[in-house]
Amino acid sequence: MGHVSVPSDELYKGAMATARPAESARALHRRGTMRRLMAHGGGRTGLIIVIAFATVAILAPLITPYAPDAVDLESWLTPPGLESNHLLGTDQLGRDILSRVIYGSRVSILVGLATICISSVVGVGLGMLAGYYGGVLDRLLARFTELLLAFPYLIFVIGIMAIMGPGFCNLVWALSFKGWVEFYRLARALTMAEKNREYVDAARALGRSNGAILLREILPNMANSILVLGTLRMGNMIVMESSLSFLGLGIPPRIPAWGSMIADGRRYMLGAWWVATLPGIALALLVLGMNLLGEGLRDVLDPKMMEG
Amino acid sequence: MAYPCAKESALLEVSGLYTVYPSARGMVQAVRNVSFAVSRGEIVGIVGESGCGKSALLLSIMGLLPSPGRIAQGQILFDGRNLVDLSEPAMRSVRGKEIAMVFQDPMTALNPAHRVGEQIAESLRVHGGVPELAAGDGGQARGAGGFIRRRLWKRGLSAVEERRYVIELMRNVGIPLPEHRHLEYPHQFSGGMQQRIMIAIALACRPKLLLADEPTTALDVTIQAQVLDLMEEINRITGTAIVLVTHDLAVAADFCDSIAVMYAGQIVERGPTDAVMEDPAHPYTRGLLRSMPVLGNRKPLQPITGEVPDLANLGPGCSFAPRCDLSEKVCLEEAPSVSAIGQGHEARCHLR
Repeated sequence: MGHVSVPSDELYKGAMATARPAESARALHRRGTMRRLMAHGGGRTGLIIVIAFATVAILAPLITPYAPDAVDLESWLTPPGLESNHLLGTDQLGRDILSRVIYGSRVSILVGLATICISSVVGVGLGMLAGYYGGVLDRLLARFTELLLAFPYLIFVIGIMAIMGPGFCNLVWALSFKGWVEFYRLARALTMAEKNREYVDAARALGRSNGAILLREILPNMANSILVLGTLRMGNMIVMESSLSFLGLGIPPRIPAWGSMIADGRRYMLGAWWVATLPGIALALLVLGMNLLGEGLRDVLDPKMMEG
Repeated sequence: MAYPCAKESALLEVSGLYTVYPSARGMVQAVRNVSFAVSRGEIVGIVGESGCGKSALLLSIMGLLPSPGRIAQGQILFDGRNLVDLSEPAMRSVRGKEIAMVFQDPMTALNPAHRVGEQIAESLRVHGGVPELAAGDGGQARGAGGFIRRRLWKRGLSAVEERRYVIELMRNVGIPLPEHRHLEYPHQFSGGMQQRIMIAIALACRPKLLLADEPTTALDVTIQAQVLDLMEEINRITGTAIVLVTHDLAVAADFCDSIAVMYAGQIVERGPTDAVMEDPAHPYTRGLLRSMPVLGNRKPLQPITGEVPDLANLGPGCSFAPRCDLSEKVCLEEAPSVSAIGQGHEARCHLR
């Protein structure tokens, strides 16, 4: 941040801190979180990776050298390198791997984002209701989530996808169908802790309704934890999406997805390692970035480190 | 000011109130047959040790008893309405707007996630702005519908008016540089300043009655005096009646027009402050006075020996009798009734 000219006298420092202009006080707070994240080695690396992937995904049509599904049988299985026109080589149909990896990032990020959005809204909503009101609703949800948790996640989603068939929306629904449980459990536990805090009593004494207490008082106090969980879970969701696409149950084959690219390349692994390996590296890198970012956020958003 | 200075008509009149908590050991009678009145513009102190039912009494008035607790009997007349009979939505429009509350520990009673200015403004918005400042909807808009209307149609105060009002309020409760500090978070304030903000939040809707639950207990002694002075000034200027709950008889004596001493869920003595302090009629009040340190007096303090009785399992006699050094046979056998001592001064004791 740009430094305003501050009198060198140490005595003025306190006064200047409180007398800073109102708008920049807001900005300072926001920058504080960002600054701490950038000072956190893992968080910074994760943020850079995630932003890089997101930018590439958004700009995909502008930066890809080829259409992702352009077949060129004459140059099939071209190895990566600068001598050919395919930087990362081509697959068994001569499709440009760089373009396909870039388009594949769109699928992974979109599925991850959509799943996390649906899961967190449903999970946090139900978790807050269960944690706040308790009673029958809480007991019913507890049994239901225990039931869901009894199935291994991947097997569960494979089962649903086998019934519903491959497809983007089906995949998002199938992943969300169990993905909300983690958010539910976090939100429920946090709500049960927060609802006994005195500021909730104070809000009630001000005539606040239960709905307003949940949304305006309790939710802001757990937003950080939800953000961290969401970031960490998004990496998992991306892995799940790729696993399902690998099995041919996720994204339909005509859309380039990392999982199905790895599945395709498997057969050529000995002669043309790059077909399966490069999307795998992209996947690993993005998931690593999401996890680093999540852990960085967790460290940075720790309320004890809040300084304003 | 909008408030008449007439002190005669009672603003709050609690009569025959019983509050009970069902428990495994039986009914815990937290408040037993409590009657007292608060006139407009009056400051009433409720004094008693922890567990005597002070907080249960306040929560009964606010209609905020934590669930198994309930009001078993009695009425709470506030401004002509019986609060015991009001529905939850009707009660919600009384809370914060007509009766506001200041809590013991401002550190935990302020929401750590919101800027203080926002919290003050929010207490305005709950009730649709201040009647004197804007046409608004006078607090009629409640629930989700009201929330949407206030947000989208901007009934009540505009954002600029709102900020001006918040800053003005913060200045009035003695917060320096309010135009900057309204953007700060609670943890950036000291304890005394936080309590001032709590008071600003409570005052935002200009309530008729302010309930203060040990408002200075969590503060340093020097800050205590400042906060009490502030509340006294608010009372003088706006005519807001105050009920001050405290365990500190000295604070109550300094600050209140009249005092009610609570013991084991009952008011054992009440009356004008001067009368109670100069001629304490109940042995418990005298015991409290004796256990109070006086500056310059080097005599040892005399504690009240014994323990507070079990409120789930009360004997037939006076609940203070087991700890009372004057107790006679009748004290253990029969519950005392209220007897008048002087003008507005009464005590619940056989020996008067």
